[in-house]
Amino acid sequence: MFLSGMLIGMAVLGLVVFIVIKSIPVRWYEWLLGTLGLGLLLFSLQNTVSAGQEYWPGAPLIFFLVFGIPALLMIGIAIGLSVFRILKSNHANADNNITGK
Amino acid sequence: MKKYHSTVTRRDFLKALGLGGAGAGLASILPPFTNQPIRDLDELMSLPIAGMKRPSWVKTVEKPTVEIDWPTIERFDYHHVMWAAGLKRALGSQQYDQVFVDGRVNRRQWIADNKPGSRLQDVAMKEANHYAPVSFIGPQTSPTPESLQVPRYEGTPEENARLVTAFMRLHGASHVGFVELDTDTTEKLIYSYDTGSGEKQGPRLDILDYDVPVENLAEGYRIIPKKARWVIVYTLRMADELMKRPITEVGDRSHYYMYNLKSLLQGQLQNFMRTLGYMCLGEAANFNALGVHTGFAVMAGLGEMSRVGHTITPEYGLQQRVQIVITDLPLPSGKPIDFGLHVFCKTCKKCADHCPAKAINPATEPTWDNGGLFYRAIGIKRWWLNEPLCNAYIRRVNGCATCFAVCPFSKRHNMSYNDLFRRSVASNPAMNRFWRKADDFFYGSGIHSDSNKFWELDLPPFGYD
Repeated sequence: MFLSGMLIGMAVLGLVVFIVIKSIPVRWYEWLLGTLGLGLLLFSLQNTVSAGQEYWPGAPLIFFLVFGIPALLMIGIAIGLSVFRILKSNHANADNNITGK
Repeated sequence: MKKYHSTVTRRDFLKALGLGGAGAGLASILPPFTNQPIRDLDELMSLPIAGMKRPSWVKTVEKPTVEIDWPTIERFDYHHVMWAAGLKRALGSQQYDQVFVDGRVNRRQWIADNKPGSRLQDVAMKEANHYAPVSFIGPQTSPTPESLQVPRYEGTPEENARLVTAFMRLHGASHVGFVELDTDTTEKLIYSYDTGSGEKQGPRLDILDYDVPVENLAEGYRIIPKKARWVIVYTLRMADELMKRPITEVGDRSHYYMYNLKSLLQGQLQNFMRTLGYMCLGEAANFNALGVHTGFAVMAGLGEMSRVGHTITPEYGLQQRVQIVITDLPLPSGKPIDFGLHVFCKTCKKCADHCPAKAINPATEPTWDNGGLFYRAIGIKRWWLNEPLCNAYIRRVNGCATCFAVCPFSKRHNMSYNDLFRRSVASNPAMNRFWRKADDFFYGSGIHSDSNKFWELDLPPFGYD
């Protein structure tokens, strides 16, 4: 659990640093959705793993389905919205370059 | 020889009890900053193990959450309970005998049928019981301060509490608490007649102005000196993986093993107190004696009284046995606690829903009305069980405790969900119904039906972590 926490922390830190360095515009609601999703994902992982360690039959899967899936969806939507907007913006810039505006 | 904090040479005292060796063992499991040999009791008392830190959401309160009308309470005769002569009196001789015949027939049949959890290997584990001798006075085998030619140990009540807690925790107790006996209240939790042998009424328990305890079984009495005013209440945690398999022989082992351990621990505690220079009056029975365990656990602040009448602790729910001793070592009296359990029991009712004997009262509100039944105490507002039904069922199936298994509080703390649940119950009773439904959704009944799988599990020592 300690190792997975460290890996997730490093990945999140890497993502934030990447966003700042590349000056990627991220809207406030995307931060909020991503943060909530990440929190829910951690909660889900902790409970799924611990339920397994406690030998609860079925509970690990239920915990993952109830908390893990919505968490992944929230993170996916947050990332998707940002990527979609960047791609759209790049597309618009490319169009502008072609038309010379 | 270098002296440490104490003026009395407690190192000799520790050595006499074999605690020096235990100290070396303890050092290996403590964080590095304490990785030093324990040199005396003061050092032992300063270790984290000596304190009993409760979760932040547990509140201490002036009155217990279960309502008690102290003026009407009378000391209870243990002879009336179901585990003594109560069941025979409640059922009648013929039905009573049949209960035990059923138990023997069921055991034989279930072994032949290889019923999960009740096969021969499962019966063998349950019947592996071995008890150390238990007594009121104690083994009396450790040296006394007189024999060591030193003054007896002296400390403030708080120091004494840490001392006793450290000793008890080191020897396997999960919770340790204290109750000062008060003539108008807590003294009434001492039985009027102690546990007897089988169906025989036990000796009278007199609380008199004596210097030393007296036991005269020929005349049928035990005397608790009035100066022994403090009750040490402690719990022994039971193994979850056994407890989750009720109505099986393996499931029942979780209780019996803790009674085995109690018999050993009580004698050790009595010897410990003897060498300190104090009396320590123990339970002269393997299971239950001296006084009302749940009552003392509630008054000491170890837990709250539940729908089933047992103590539920914030940490382990129903999964512990409560035991007591009485001493003249001054101790601070604990205060009852409130972590929302009593209110939660009103809406939860999971134990009542799953009780195979239908012996648990499903009413929302507890009642003062004990039905005038001889085996029920008076002066307490609670959910009364159908005790004969419960006890007869336990004996017919050779062990039940389904209520222990299904209780939402009987979950470990590994999962943060369970911490969230406990915090919510303590602070937001409006969510209680939701948590009961959530418990059903995530865990089902909470019972593990595949009892044979128990033998394949990779379990930590004592079956819990």
